[in-house]
Amino acid sequence: MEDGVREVMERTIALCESLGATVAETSLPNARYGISAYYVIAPAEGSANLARYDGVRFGERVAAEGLDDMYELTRAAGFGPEVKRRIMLGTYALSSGYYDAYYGRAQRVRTLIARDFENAFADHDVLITPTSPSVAFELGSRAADPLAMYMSDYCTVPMSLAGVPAISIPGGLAAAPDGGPELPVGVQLVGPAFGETALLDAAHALESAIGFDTNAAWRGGADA
Amino acid sequence: MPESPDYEPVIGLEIHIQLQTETKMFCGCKLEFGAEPNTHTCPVCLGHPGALPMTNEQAVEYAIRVGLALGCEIAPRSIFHRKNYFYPDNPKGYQISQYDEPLCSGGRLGDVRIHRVHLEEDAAKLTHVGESGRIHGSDASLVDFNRGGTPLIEIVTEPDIHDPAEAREWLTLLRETIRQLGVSDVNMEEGSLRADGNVSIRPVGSKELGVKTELKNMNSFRFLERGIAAEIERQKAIVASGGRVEQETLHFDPASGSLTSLRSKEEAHDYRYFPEPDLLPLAPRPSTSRRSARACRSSPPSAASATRASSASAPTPPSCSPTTPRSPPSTRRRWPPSRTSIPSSSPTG
Repeated sequence: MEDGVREVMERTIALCESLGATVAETSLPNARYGISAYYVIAPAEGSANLARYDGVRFGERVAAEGLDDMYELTRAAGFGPEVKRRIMLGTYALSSGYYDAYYGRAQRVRTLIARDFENAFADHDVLITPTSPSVAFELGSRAADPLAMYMSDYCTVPMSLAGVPAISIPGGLAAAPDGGPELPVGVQLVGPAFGETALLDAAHALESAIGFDTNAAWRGGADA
Repeated sequence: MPESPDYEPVIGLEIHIQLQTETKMFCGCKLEFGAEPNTHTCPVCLGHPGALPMTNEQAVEYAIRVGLALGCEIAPRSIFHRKNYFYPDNPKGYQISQYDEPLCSGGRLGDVRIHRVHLEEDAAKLTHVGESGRIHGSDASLVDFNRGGTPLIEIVTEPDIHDPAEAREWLTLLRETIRQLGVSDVNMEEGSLRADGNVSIRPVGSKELGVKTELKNMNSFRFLERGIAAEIERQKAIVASGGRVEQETLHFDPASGSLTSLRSKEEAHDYRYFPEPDLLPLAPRPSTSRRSARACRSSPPSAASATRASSASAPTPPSCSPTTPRSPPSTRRRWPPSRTSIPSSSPTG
């Protein structure tokens, strides 16, 4: 967690306490495996979800002599590099001989992560975490390093896997470790499955208390 | 040279039956044989972006009815899988089917044991424009998506059939049984009943199974018998000349009696099966199962009594009741796993 993120989180947690919340620390021991599990499961399912883009019934079609050529040329032209990357990863993770080691195992890890949330919500109403381990970074600055990009999802992917509702609200501004202008830091609130109503109430209360001025941030003004 | 042993055929059947439900397996499009092409379609059965499937309850009820009639065990919980491959009659690029957790397993009809019965969706209908009507040498292919998404049950038998005539007779018995259940008009000419044969040979008296080939395109009972007979002869000739039977899929041409290889084992698809994430597990409601059992019992006595006499065993009439008790509600898994804020009646309970 970058220092800027930690500062905003500590301020926000103090604000929650002043609003009457009882704040405690809890643990999601398997959440650390969320990125690994997610980047097997999501590309695997995506490789199947994207198979319908084949040039037959809608969208782009690149004409070719034979059917397989048409499929290959159409999909090569229609998909960008990140999508192609995920289709390849996903197809591999599902292929014969690899399913158990990758997709099968990732789904079992997913169950463990879901149980971590169940246990946490037995004792707590809402979880609060950073939305991202880092302060916002410049557009394109991580495009050349897909793994660094994927790591940005570290705090949010466990919730997607567990199927619990979560929301991100602006928590404040902070500078990145290498300096530069102060940029936004997101705060994530998480609720139990089907607990959207209470979660949105909590998020609204916190958002009002933070009073983050989005327009001022755009203009480069001081944070709330 | 030692005399070669006599070989006996070992035959199993894979049968696909279209269910005569109001609407398709995963969407609300109506089923109508012979309709103007592409007039019964929607984003779901066309595989448009963002469309999601919804399971047809009537199809589940019909499938359970068939399972009960065949004396199968009905799984209290089964799941759908995606079978992934590219072909123009497969709009999503995957077919929603069932893999290792099917709706029905075990069972028997006459002398033939049933391995499993599962639910899946039909592909669209391809018409090849050209002289032979086959894909080779055709100028173009047309796709009619009216058929795509039709509910199918796939029935797989154990390799209990011993000769081509028995295959034809047993399939006739199955057809009559299904017809009397009122779930399909099981008409081979119209495509609501389709059968593929799995054929192998082995030395008489051996208990091991030889390499099997899969025979497709036998679209009448007569062609089924002839196709299987031709394949048995082909395999016997290979073995007699010292060769080995290769595992492959063959197309039977009734006009010439020839068998053409469609694809070899090496060209076989890796379907990359994984559980369908857009559908809840199939855990039939007690009311659905009861309706199926009632409908099964009230259908006319099947032609099971017409099964050919077997010295080994007497034919078993359809039982119409599950062979294992349904799991009590407390042991049925619920999704999501969270025990907080779950509505008191789940959609599957």
